[in-house]
Amino acid sequence: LPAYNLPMPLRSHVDLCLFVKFLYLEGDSIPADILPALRETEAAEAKLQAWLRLRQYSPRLIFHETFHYWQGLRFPFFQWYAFLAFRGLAQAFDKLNQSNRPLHEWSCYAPSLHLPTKRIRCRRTKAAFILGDQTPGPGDVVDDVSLSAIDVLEAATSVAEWQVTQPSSGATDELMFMRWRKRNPAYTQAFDFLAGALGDRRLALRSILALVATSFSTTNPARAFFLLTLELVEFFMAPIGSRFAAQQEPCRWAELFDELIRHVEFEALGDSTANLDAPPFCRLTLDAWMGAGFGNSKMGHPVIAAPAKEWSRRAEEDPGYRNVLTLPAWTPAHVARECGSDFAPPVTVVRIRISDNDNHVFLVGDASRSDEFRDLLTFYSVVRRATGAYFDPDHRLCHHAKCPEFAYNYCNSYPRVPERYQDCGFPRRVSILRETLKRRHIV
Amino acid sequence: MSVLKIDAGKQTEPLLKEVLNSLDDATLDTVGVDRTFAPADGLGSEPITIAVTLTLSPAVAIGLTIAVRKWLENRRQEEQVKLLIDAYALSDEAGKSVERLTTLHAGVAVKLHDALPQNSAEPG
Repeated sequence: LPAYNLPMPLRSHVDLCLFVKFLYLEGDSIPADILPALRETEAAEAKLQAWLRLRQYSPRLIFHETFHYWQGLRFPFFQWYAFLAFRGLAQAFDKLNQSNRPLHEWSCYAPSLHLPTKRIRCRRTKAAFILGDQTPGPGDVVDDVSLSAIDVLEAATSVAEWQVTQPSSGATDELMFMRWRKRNPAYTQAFDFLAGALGDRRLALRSILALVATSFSTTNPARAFFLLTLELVEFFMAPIGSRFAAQQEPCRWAELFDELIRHVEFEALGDSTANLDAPPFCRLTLDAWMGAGFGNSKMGHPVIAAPAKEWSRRAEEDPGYRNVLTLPAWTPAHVARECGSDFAPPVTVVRIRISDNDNHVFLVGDASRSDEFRDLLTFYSVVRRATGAYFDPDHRLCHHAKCPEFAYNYCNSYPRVPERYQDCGFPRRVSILRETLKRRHIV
Repeated sequence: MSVLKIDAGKQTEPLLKEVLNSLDDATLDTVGVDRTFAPADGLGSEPITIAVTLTLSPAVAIGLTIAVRKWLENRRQEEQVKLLIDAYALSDEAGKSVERLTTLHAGVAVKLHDALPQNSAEPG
C-alpha cells in the first residue's frame, strides 16, 4: 500500500481523465476571518461567500488549475484522450466488479492510461533535431531533453500564468519573465528548449502558447512540440519569418502553426485511432471527439464534452473566444469574464488541511450538490486507486487514520469527510454503485 | 561562482520566497535558481518545490544566509523545520556564515564542499 507521507506537500491538480479540480490549501495560510466561515457553516451561501473571498488569496493557484480545465475543453488531444481514458476506467471498474473480489483486493494495471507521462527524448545539434534513440554525431549535441505531454502542457500553463498578470505591453518581456520564474515556482523545461532552439527568449515567449496548443491537436503532443519547434526555426530563417516576427503582438500564431503543422509527417489519417496503448502519430480534431459517445448512447465525457461544445459554439460567433489559450494577455475583457464564470469547472474539491488530524473538505461549483457527481467521484476514487492511473499515493482527502478504509485509500477522492468516520457513507455508496453497475454493464 | 543546494522539504518554497524577496531585481539577475519539483504523476498540477539549487557569487551568498537566518528565527515558535544545505565553492567568510546557521536551529545541517558540483545552474 502506498504510504501516507505527510511531510510531502500535496499538490493541487486537475487530473487529465476526469478533469475535476482538486485544491489543497493549508489552513494556516487562510486568513483568520475566513477560515471559521469555511469550516463551521453548512449554509451554502455563507460558505460560497467565504470561498469567493478565499479565492482572492490564491489567484495564481486558481488560475493555474482553471487554465488546465480550459485546455481540457479546447485541446483535441484531451477530448480524445479523456473520453477514451474514462471509457478505459469504466471498463476496468466493470471487469473488477464482475470478478466479485472484495474491494480491497481490486488491482489492475492499465498501461494505456499513462500516455500523457510518456517522455520522448530530443537532442538538438547545430544541424538537426534527433528524436528518440538515434545516435547523433559525436560532440554535436547542444541540448538534450526528454519531455512528456504533461511537461509541454505545464510549460504553456506557467507562461500563461505569468502573462495574465502582466499588462499586454509587457507580456513578452523576457527579463520580467526570467525574474518572475526565479521568484515563483514554474514549469519551464519545454520553454527553455524552445528558447534555445530559436536563440531568442522573447520569441519563445511570444510563440510557445500557440505552439503547445497546436501540438495538442495530435496524438503525441511532445513529439509534435519538437517537430513544430523545428518547423518554426526554419520559418524564421526565411524572409517571411523575419517579417512575421517584426510585427507587434497580438500576432496570428495559431494560424501560423496551423500552416506549419501541414509540413509535419504523420503516420495515419487524422482522427483515425482510438488506441491509447500505442497510437499512431496523427492529427486530432475537436469536432470528431467532443461529440464522441459511449457505446450506443450519446453520453459523452461526463465533465468536458458539453462545455467544450458550448465554447466552440461561442468561438464561431465571437473571435475573442478562439485565442484565449494562445494569447491570454490579449483576451477581450468580456471574454475573460465569461470564461471565468461560464467555463468554471463544474466541481472543485477543496481540501483545507487544518492539522495532521483534521481536514475540512467541501465541494464548490455548479454541480457540487449533484448526487450523480458524488457517485462519479466515488467511482473514480476507487478505480483510480485500483489502476494506479492518475493516482498520487499522497492524494487523499480524509484524515481519519483509525478508519478501516484509511490504509487502503480507495476513498482517496470521496468528497465527504464528516467528524466521525463512521458517518462518511463511502462503503455504502460503493456497494450501491457496484450493485447498480453489475446490473447494467455501463460500457 | 558558488552553489547552495537547499532542501527544506515542503518549507523549501516559503524559505526561497523569503530569501529571493530579500534581493533587488539587479542582484536577482545575477543568481541562478533551479528548483526541483515533486513529480506530477500524470496530473496537471501546481509545481511543488522540494529542493532548490542557487548559483551565486560568494558576496550574495552571505546576504542570502542572513535572509535564511531571519526566516529561521521567525519560525522558531512554529513547527519544526529540517533544513539541509550543501554549499559548494564558498569563500571562507561565506562558508562561516552558512555554518553559523547550524548553531541557530537544531534542524539545520550544513555540508561544505570545496569544488563546484557537476551541472550547476547558470545565472540567467
